[in-house]
Amino acid sequence: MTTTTAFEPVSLAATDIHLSLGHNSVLRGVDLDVPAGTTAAVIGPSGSGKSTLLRTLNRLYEPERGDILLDGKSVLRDDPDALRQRIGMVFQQFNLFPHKTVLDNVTLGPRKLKRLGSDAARELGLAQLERVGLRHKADVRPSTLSGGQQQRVAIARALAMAPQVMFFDEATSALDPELVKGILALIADLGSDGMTMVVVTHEMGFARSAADAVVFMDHGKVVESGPPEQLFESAETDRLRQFLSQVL
Amino acid sequence: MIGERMYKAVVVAVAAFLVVTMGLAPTAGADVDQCAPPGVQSASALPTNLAAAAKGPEEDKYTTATVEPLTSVRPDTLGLGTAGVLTVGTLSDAPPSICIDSAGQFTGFDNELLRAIAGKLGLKVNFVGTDFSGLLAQVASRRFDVGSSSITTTDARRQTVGFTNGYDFGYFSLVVPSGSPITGFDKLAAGQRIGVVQGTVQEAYVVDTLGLDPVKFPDYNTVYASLKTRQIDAWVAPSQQAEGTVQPGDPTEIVENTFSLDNFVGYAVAKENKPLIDALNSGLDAVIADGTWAKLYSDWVPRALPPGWKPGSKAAPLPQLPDFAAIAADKAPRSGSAVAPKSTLTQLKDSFLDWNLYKQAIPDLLKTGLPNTLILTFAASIIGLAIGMVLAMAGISTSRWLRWPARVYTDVFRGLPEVVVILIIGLGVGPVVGGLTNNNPFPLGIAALGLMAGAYIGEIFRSGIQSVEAGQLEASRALGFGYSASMRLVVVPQGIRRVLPALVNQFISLLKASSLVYFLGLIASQRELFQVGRDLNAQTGNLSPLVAAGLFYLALTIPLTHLVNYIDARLRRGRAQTGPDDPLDPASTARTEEMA
Repeated sequence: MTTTTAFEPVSLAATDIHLSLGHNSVLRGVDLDVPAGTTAAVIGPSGSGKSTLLRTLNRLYEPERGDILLDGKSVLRDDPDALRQRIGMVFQQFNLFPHKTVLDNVTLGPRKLKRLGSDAARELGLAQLERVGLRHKADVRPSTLSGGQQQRVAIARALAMAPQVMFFDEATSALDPELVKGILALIADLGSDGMTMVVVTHEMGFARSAADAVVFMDHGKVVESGPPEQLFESAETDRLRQFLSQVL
Repeated sequence: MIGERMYKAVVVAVAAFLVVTMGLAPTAGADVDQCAPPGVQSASALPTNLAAAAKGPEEDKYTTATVEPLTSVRPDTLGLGTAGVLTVGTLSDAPPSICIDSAGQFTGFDNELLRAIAGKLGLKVNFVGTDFSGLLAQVASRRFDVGSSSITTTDARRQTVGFTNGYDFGYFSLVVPSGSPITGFDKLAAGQRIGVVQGTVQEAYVVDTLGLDPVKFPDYNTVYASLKTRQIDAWVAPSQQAEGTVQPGDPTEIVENTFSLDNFVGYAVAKENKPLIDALNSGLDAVIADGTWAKLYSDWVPRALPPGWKPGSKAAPLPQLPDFAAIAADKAPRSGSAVAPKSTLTQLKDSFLDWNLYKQAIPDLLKTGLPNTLILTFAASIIGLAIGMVLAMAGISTSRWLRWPARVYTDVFRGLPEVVVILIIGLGVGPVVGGLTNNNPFPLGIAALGLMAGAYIGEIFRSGIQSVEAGQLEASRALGFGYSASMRLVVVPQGIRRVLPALVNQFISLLKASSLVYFLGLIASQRELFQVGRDLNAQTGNLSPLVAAGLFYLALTIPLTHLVNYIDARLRRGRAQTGPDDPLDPASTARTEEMA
């Protein structure tokens, strides 16, 4: 972790977020509060709107109602492309660019969006790969890497843009079981290094140990939220208790 | 792998064999050039088997009584497309009247006479080869100032264009395979396959006068080749073409001649361009008066004049011609006994494998045909790629105002036959932009080919782009790239990679379609591979030059085909490597979908 650059995390908050896709109302008034430098784990059954929430918070989907605040200021009137530069995102399917080398995947954003020179971009890219332990794979194509390695590259790619907030969308769901632990450890490290993070996950162990707050969603709403020990040990709602009894 | 290697070895061996045999081919041998003046010795008398003309000269209401004096012709009032230059649409395949010679010059009796007339008027002549089906329309739309193609001046054609006074006349000849039971026009009957060239007076004669249904061919060569191979029973031909085409030893004979109604042969001019018609008539009378007409006529198409007909206006002097009947009578009787008919196998070998003609064709194919084919193909490809990319982007747009026009464009240009698009663009749009293109058909041909290629390439691009999984666009947008930057940097490069084989295939079909540009009329130096082969084929009546042109196409397309296979194999190998250990490689799943 010697090359780790200091994060400049900010707080993230959302109030009364509504979103419909087609005739489906997917988010029905979601509130979220993630103080700077903390990790919120979002849990809930499939179809509860967790992944859609992340895509609405960085405005890949435009919310129909509600507000999104970054560092206390509304971002709904900003240029959505500029907003997304401030929020790093890691996907379940990695979504690396297969036609570019590992290093080019990491440096594409800094070069094209931040106009970084090629030498500086290379240095930055190698530093980020170093952080995830894949500096030696800089010049190969993503398709030659294992799933775990690809996800590490995806994390390096997101971090290279120096984001103020990081989103993880079921980042370990597509991995072979023996690779899950390493990625979760890497995400936990980022949290302890002070990044503001929203982690959508099915890994209850991770939610319990690495998150500062846990948010339980169902049917497009936040049903219950609070510190992990409170939710996992003394759930207030039947739905959360039922959910936990099924996954634990 | 072994199979492929053997296949390659065979290809190389065949190519080497061709080169070696062409090199060793004897240089001697009859150099048939049907596009050279046959000379007065080839004269023919009035056919004895001539059916009587329907009407006498007194019925002729079109030939002018007199002409304006040459000195009163003012070149600036002639309405020419280019001042001082007579742009002439002609054909290359009807020797000895109109043809292209071994030096690549348009010539023949009609064109040499026109050159002499233009000389009298102080005009230069620029010949452009075209297809007969489009000639009159191109004259009417002023793409050409004059049409020169042994055009018989029928009333139907006078609806479209105007004509000069007559400079030649036409019989129809009935050509049949040797020994055919059809011995005269009166033996033609329903159920026989009677060949004619589409849009000619012979077609009108067979349909209207004989009341039969002919088999229509695009040009004289094809119809004669079909007669020789007995795919048709008879050919109703203009007598000049029949005389020029039927060679001693051919398994065919001319069994009867008939008069071409009461119409003469004239040059076509746009109907409303009266000054040019008058000027050409003046020039024609002048070349008749000074003996040029008689000399050219004796050289190229020496035949006894039909009674009651003479060239030029009614006031023109009677040309002084040698006694063709006497010359013809002096000649040794030209009958089947002089030259033994060749066997079918010899016929085929002579038609397709005449090494001398290969050697004659290759320099022209290399110097003229190949560069033009490549220019047409590359330029059209670039237009097609640009249009295709726009169509693909519009096609995947969320706005129906972009999607719909792209859809309509694609449906229209993919649904039309290539020839139709070329003719519509060339003959329809051509006159509108004539000033811009200087009446050069090349840009129009390129545009037409490019517009069509765009429709296909657009669909190829679209399928490629849509095969890139949504996560790629999402990941790029999540990094902070806008839609167009994401498309440009991430989605489109991947999409194109996947459809490279399809793109190369499209390029190959464009290469072949480039030959269709000849419909728009090309000057000799603009001819592409197919047209060079076709002209030499017309000039010699032999199919070897077309086979040579075909070999050039193969030399271009076979390497491209292998390039496709190579790209395809590389894409497959790339997938095979990552497949087993990496079931979630996004590229691999997408490719699987694409193949499905």
